[in-house]
Amino acid sequence: MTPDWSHDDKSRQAFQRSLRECVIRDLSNGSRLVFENQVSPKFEKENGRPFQNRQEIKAEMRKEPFYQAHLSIQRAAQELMWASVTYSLDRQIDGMMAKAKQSSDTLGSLTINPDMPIPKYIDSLDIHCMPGGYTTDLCDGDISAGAIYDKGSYMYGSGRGGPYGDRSGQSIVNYLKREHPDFAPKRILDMGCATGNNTVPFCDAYPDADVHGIELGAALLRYGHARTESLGKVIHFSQQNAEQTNFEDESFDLIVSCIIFHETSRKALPRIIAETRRLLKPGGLMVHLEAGQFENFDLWRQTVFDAETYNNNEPFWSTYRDMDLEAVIAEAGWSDGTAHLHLEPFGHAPVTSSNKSQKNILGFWFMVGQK
Amino acid sequence: MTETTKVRVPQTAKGHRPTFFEDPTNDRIMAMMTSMITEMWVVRERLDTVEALAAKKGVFLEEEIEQFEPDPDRAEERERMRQELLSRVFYVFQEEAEDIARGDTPESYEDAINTSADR
Repeated sequence: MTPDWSHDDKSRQAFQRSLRECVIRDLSNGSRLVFENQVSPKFEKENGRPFQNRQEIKAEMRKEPFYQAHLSIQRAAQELMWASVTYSLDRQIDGMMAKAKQSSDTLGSLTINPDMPIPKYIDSLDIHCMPGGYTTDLCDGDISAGAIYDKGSYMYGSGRGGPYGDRSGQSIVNYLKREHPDFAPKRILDMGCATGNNTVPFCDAYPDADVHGIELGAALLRYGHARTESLGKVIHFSQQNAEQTNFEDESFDLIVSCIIFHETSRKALPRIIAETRRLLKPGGLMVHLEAGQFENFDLWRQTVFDAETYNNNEPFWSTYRDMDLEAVIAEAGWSDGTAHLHLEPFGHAPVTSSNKSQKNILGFWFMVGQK
Repeated sequence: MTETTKVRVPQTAKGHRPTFFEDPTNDRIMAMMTSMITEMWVVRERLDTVEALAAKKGVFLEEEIEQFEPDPDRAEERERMRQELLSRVFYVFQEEAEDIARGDTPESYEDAINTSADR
């Protein structure tokens, strides 16, 4: 079922990765210099005060030709990254679908629910400019969204997700093994599992556990199921909305998610966290992994992140990163102080009280709770 | 792209395509240029592979290349390749045309942000 990339496909994909690095290195750095050396001093001189928020910065920066060219090329690079995958997949999707169908259930399972309503927040724009988005289902047995996502998300993360695209899941496992070394969950749920790349580490970390993954996109799930079977791992996939699942109360020991919060909505997010609580057994753990809130970053980084909302089809990204997550946790029923936020910086350095107040620490944010 | 393919894998993203310059023509040129560098590299890398493989076998290709005339089948295949190159380089117009076809507008994009924020 693995796509057969031609010599030219591989050249194109390698080049898109180089291009992304170049955009990040040269263009983003250039824009930061334009901001720090020109736009910011000019604004202070004219207004007698520094910039107060990212909206003010955006308004001034969007007049700068360098920044205009930067954003324009960055947008094109994002589109061309996907194009380096989709053109070629279009050639071979029929053969891949046939092979995926042959690998029927042997280890795990797949349950598709064509009647599940697709929530608007996941479907109103094709998130990250991924052609077709997560939920396009072209035909019975379609796996194209999964095939596009698997390759594209690897390129999107410039390979930082690792060869198996499982670094986020692995980070949760590392955290659990360190903080809860004796924890031995029997039943595990990954919410919004996409193609299950980040679900697999839980199979390896807890080999005696039943591992489940739910996801909105049928074609992501079909691809994920076939991929998981080919890796010899056991995951039970089902098409469900994490806001309201069909699992029984108190039926999981561990519930996780990897970077799904910012792709939901203001109403859906507390529902997902409340659903997590409903599904957890007493003593069970939730670990939701996400990007950090805007308050943890300086105004320029906020501006850079905010540009994704408008230029990279991320409708909830900025709203989410402005939300008070402590309040959301309480709203979702975790008001007894059993849930908290935890920062896990890239590069394994544990968070201490001294660096917690620093700005611009890049890493994963965990919403952790024990019921 | 090929006639044997029954399923068409999506090639563009739903959501109005933003532009950044006062004249959107500049955005189109940037997009085409970015795609063109990609395609230039693809050719350059293939050539490099050919040269490396030929050299490994002790084959001297330069003169033969100068004398080469494609047969009709190859000429037809080259036309197909040129058309593919053109659609890749001019992809930005496909993006915009499909935005228009779907009715994606700046307003519908704004609606999506507001809807997900439940304002």
